[in-house]
Amino acid sequence: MKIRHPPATTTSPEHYRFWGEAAIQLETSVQLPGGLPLYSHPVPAGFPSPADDHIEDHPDLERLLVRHPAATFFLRARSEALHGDGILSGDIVVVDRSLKARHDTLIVAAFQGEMLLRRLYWKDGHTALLSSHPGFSAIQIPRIASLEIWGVVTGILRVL
Amino acid sequence: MYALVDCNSFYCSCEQLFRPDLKGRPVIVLSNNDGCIISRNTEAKALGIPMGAPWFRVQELAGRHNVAVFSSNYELYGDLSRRVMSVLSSLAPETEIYSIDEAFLELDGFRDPWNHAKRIRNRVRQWTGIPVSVGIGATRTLAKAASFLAKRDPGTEGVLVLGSREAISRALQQMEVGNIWGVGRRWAAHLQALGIHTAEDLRRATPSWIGRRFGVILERTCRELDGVPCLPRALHSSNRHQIIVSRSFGKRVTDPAPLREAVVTHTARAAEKLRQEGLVALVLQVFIQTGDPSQHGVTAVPLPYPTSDTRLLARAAVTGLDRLYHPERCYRKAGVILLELRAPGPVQGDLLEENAIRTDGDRAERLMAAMDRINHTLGRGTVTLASQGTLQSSQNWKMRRDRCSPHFTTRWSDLREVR
Repeated sequence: MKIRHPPATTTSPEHYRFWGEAAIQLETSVQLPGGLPLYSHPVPAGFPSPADDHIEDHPDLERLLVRHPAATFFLRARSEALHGDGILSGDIVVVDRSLKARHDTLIVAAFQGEMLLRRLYWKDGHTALLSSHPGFSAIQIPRIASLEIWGVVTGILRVL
Repeated sequence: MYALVDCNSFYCSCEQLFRPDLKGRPVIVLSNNDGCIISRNTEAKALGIPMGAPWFRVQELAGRHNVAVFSSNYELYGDLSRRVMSVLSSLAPETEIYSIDEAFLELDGFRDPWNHAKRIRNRVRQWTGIPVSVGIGATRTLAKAASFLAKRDPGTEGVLVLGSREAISRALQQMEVGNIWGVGRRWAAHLQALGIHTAEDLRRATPSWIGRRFGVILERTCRELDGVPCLPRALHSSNRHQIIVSRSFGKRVTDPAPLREAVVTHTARAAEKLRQEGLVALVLQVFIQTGDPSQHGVTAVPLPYPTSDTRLLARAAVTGLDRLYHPERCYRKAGVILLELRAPGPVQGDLLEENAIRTDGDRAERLMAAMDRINHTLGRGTVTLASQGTLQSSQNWKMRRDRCSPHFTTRWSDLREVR
């Protein structure tokens, strides 16, 4: 059994290295004959980290993107209809059903059996689904009842 | 005041949420292995497709009427259920989850319960896309009756409050006694022979007389119908007595290898549930079934000490299975039951050191925790025991879900596409 404790107050790089070895020795070599480890952890005894009092959780993506977990769904964009708004085919679209859609919001709409990603035009008694790509024309909605607003787009996710 | 919130045709509603093209079409959902019908939307009910009917018997009718047919997608239903329950818990001081699609809410202190019920209905519909009915009454039994009637009477718009004596009497007169919560078919026949035909008849019966003839359970129902709460809040108690995991096979199994894989897989799932509850088990039961009840086998295997270690439980399960197995039989179902559950306590050491895994002490616990964490974050089945078999070998016994929709809400690869 070989245990050498590092001096507690020295901080040169060399001593760090030495300390590391000692820790490994503690972990691996201190065993009772029956196989039970005497120590299972290295015991550091140096300066406490000056950052200890300032530790924060990492920025939580879920919390940033999902304000209402019960009402938030992820869908997959499969068209370039909102290309001009920066939503590309393949993007993951974050949709919050708890929000009320207003004029000029990006929405997912259920219309004539399809789920569409569009900008809602809803003003002066006129309703339409707009696109921001020249290849798509606006869809006029004659009766508001024939349109179901599935949810409001609150974000996109893109893994490169 | 209690409210029962009940999702309308829940499984069908889940499927339709992601399929607006199915609007107006009849939809049905089949049980495990596509056996029989377990959910129908309004359009399917109107076709006269009966609940519980075997799929092969309605297949022809379904084809003729362009019925959309789904295998049960419990990943999807479970996720949407969780969402519904979470919305409900934000709208009432107390919620009791009663089943995957029903919850009781305590609404004491709400001045206008009808108004609040409307709010609940609208909120759940908007946030989760699932339509619900709300029944309100002074007891759980009355709330359940109210929701039953609300679903069947379109005039109520899905909300019914049984408040005044007159309203209760009027409503219960329209309800057959067999449709009351907790009254089974046998009791219903018995009651009708005694001249008790409607729920109102039962409400007016003398509870003690009912108790003498039918026992305390129906006596309670009788009192509850009369507005006296007497059901304990025990439905959801976390003090579980047992954990069961069983599945029918996708096809008949005679070989021992797939049988063993299935039993070990069910054991792994049961062990995971056990750890989730923070419990350990002392006894494991294995059962296997053929089509013939006389050939059903069940055996109990005691564990060396109370444990939630998948490896120990799996070993016990295989021991039990080997006892039950007959090479000439065709099995259709297998399962495991964990019994004698308790909180982990100090354990007496094993004098003979027979159980090598045991001597790891808390290493086993850490290993199981790590396994659970990995399977939770990366998806069930990421880390398994080798004896659970492979994705390919499990095709020899896994249940059939030929018509399953994608797991829209639980897998990145399955997200609903929008154009």
